[in-house]
This record gives sequence, structure tokens and C-alpha cells, in this order.
Amino acid sequence: MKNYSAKELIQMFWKSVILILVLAVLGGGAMGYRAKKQQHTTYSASQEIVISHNLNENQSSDNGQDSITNADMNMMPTYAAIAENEAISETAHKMLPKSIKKHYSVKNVNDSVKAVAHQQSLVLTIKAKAGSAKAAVEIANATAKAVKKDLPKLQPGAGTVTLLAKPTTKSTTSETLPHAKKYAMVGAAMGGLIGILISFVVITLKDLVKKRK
Amino acid sequence: MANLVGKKFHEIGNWRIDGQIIYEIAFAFEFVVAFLITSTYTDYFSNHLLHTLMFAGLALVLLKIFLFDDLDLKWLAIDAIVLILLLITWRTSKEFSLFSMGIFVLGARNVDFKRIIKIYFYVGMLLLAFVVISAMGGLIRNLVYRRDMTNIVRQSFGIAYPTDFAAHVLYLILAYAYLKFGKIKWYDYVVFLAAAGFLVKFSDARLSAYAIILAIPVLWIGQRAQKDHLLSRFIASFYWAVPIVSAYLVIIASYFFRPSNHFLNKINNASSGRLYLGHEAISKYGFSMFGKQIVEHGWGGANGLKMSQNAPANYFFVDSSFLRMTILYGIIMAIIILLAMTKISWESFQKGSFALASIIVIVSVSAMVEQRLLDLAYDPFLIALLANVYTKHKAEDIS
Repeated sequence: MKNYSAKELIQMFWKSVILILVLAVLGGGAMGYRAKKQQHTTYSASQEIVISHNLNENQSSDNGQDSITNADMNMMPTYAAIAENEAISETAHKMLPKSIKKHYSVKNVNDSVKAVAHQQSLVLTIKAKAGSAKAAVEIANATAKAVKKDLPKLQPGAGTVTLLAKPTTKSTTSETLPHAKKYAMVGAAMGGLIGILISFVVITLKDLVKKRK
Repeated sequence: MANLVGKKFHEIGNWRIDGQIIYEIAFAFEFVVAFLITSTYTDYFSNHLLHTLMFAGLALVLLKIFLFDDLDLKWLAIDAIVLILLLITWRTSKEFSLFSMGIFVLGARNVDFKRIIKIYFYVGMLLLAFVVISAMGGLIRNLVYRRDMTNIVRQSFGIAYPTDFAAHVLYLILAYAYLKFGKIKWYDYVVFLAAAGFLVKFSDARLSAYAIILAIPVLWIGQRAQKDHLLSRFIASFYWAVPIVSAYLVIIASYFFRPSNHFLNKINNASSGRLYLGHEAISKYGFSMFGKQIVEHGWGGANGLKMSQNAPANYFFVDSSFLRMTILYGIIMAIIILLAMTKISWESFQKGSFALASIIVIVSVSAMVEQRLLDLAYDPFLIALLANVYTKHKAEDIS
């Protein structure tokens, strides 16, 4: 029968704790470093547009204003889908400043744009995500202009497109992915787990070997 | 005649009361009360009364600790510190179960552990039969639930919730396995399998049923390890690692849970949303040194049944014992409990008797997904920490 003195146990315990901590720090460092390396920031800008008919011109008929407004509202999801279409992206691409056009193809522009309609509203939000704040602003704005230019062709009878305030590089939001801190924590947790497993295996094997002797 | 009565009185007067007897009485009493709290007999007795009764059992154990244990100064100090910790965490968590479990663990010094498990097993079987018959006879309510929107019916047989019923069965099987360890035969395993099948069919309590099924290979390997089969011994030698590893896994899986993570989401769905709820609990309450109160809304009992019918979205419950104890009682207590479980397991491995090591494996696996680890109504195995497990007590067997 093998016995352990308190001293031996404490020694084993401390060795394990140190191993676990070291592996946790290593794991955290490695994962955090990898995430930092892969990190890139995307900027998003939004340009809002209003698509509506002139209410003054439609006063004559019964409930004319209401029905026109309702019809416009019902069309918003369609307009959103059109804004996300490549036909619009192509026009938008032509409108981009040269410096940005170089780096973004029509496909890139199309991928970066998302149009969001809102409940009970004639406002459509065009969002663009890009690698720089300036590109995001320009793509969102150019897409809005393209909608203004092409919508009457694509959807005859559609209302007038009015661009609201142009986004600025200051109004963009940015997101940096992957989150280095989160990756570091996952790495630390995994490192700790490996440390715990190694400690258990080593202590058990040492004990089994001692007993065999 | 008078002589005979006088003699009897004399005998009674000479009865030796020792710590073992006091502890056994206290344990049986506490176990009965704690068990009844898990049943629908609570419709007849107020919760307040039952909890007050539990204090009587605890007082008896404290009496045993300070009058019969002959503590030296070192142990007196350790006991005092642990008691203070128990008091603090009881007040911070507003949860009573660790407090009573802790006192029973401290009080078990020099108590023959096997006899306690015998009491647990026989009293538990009796109580379970009593509650089931009461429910079947209509004396108390047999709460019947339905799983989500399906037609699966889950009976509780007089216990507060189907999974609670299943947990009673699981722990009684573990107690039986402990008492018979080394001589568990194939027909015992058949009975375990049948019990698991019953739990799935009538209570749809899958997790406890799986734990019972898992117990079969774990016990089998443990038994062979005890008989010195090389491979089994090698495998069973790692049993003592299970409590810490499983607790660690549950806590980090809950902490890092995101629905977008495919792997974790699969585990979450398989465990009835436990990772999600665990993650919610961590982000809402966080970890602290001495614990915190968690406001929960479970399905169990009459109120839970009502909620399951009227407002199922209110459900919030931290199921995993490991996560529960870390949030409720704090990091310090959680580490102490894990070290205690590891010590019980390690000692079992060191003595070459793998009974407790095997049982702690199942207890740990169950503690990953269910909340009974620290509840005396279910789990008597933590008492092994200080009790006499490997030296025969002088008192004779009760069987």
C-alpha cells in the first residue's frame, strides 16, 4: 500500500497548478495572437432614402392620399430587393470615385450592400460594409444614387426617390473580427483543460508505476 | 416479574450511546424529511414545518460533532472554519441544501459509512414505495407532465417532478451497487437496464436513464479493477479525474456557449437547452467568492406544473450541479466540493477498492446535467469524505 505524505501531495498539487496555469497562459496567448493576426476591421455606413409620391397631386380621389401612401409602403420590400440587385450595383459601381472603383468590383459592391425596409415607413436604409470608412460611405451613397436613377426604369410608376443626409466617415460604425480577447479566453480555457488532463494522467501513471514496483 | 422489569431498566440504563447511533438516527430522520420534501406530500405539510424539522436533524449531528468526536484543536479549528463558510454561503445563496449536506459530511467522522448507505438504501426503498403507492392510491397527487408540444406523457409517481423521481431511482441503484460491489452479477445489470427502460417509458427521464445505463460498464470495469484485471485497472485508475474534468467541461461549455457554434448548439439541444440556460445564468449572475442568490422558476411541484401550462417561457433553472454550486455558493465552496469528491475517489483508488471511485464517476456525470449532487434526499456519497469507509467499525452490521 502506497502512502503519500501531506508534503508529497502538496508538491504534486503545486506542480499541477503551475502546469495548468502555464498551459492556460500559453493557450490564451497563442489563440489571442492568432486572432490578432487575422483581425480585420469592417466599417458600415448607412444612407437613407425616401421613396414616395407627391401627396398634393393625389388629393382628388377618395382616400387618395391614404391609398397612395399605403401602396408605397407595400412596395418597400420590393424596393429593398431592387436596391440589393446587381443591376443597381452596376450603376452604383460606375458612380464610385476612381480610387474606390479600383479596389471594388461590381460583385464586391453587390456583396457589401444590404437594404432594409422599416415597418410603416417609406424610408429605406441602404447599408454598406467595406474595408475602409470612406469606401463604405461611397458605396452606400452611390447605391442610393443608382436607385434614384434606375428605379423609374425598373419599376415604372414608382415614387420619387429622395436621398436623405449623406453618410460621413465619422458616422460609420466599425467592427473588428475576430475578437482577440474572446479567442484568448477560449485558448486559456483549452490550455487549462489540457493541463488538467496531463496532470491527472501523469499523477495516475506515476502512482501505477510505483505500485508495480 | 418485578425483578425482570427492574433488570430491563437496568439494561436500558447501561446502553452505551455512541456517535454512530446518534449519527444514524439523525441521518435517517433527515433523509426521511428531505425525501418527503421532494414528494407531493408537501401538499399536506407546510414547507416551513419540514424545514424546521430538518434543523432538528442538524442539531443532533452538531451535538455528535462537539460531544462525541473528541476533536483535537486542529480539527476543531477546521470544523469551525467550514461551519462558518457553510453559514456564509447559506446566507448569500439563500439555499439550504449545502448547509445541511456540509454538516452531515463533517459529522460523519468515525461513522461506519457502509451502515449509512444501508440505512439510505433500505429507508429510501421504503419511502419510494410508500410515495408511489400513495400516489397510485390517490392519497397524494401524481403530477403528470407533457414534454413540450409532443404527446409524450411524463409521470412523477408522487414525486415533485419526473426527473426527480428518476434521480431517486438512480441514486438508490448506486447505493445498491455500492453495498453489493465486487459481487454485482449479470442479473443485477439486467435489473438496472429494466429500471432505465421504465424511467424512459413512464417518466421520459432520459438523462437519469442514460446515467443508469452508463453505470453498467463503469461498475463492471470497477469490479474487474478490484480483482486486478490489468486493463480494467488501468482504465479505472483514471476514475478519480472525472469530477474535476467534468465540472470544468460543463462550466467552460456554458461560459462560451453561442447559438452560432454548431457543436455547442448540438449539445445544447440534446440537453434540453441546458447550455443556453447555464450561459444566461453566468452572464446574469457571474462568479463570486461566496456565492449569490439565483431567482429560479422550475417545473417541479404544483406551482411548477401550473407554470408549465400557463407561462412556459418563464422557465429558468440552472440544472448542472457543478455550475449551480459555483454560482450559488461561490468559487471557494465549489473548489472545496470538487476536491472533496476527488479525495473520495482518489482514496478509493489508493485502497484498491474501486467501489466509491466508480460511483463518483456516475455521480459526477449526473451532476453535469442535474442538480442533485448536494441534496441529501438523493446523494449520500459525499458523506464518505470523513467517514470510516475502509476500516471496519466495531458495531455489527444492521443486516
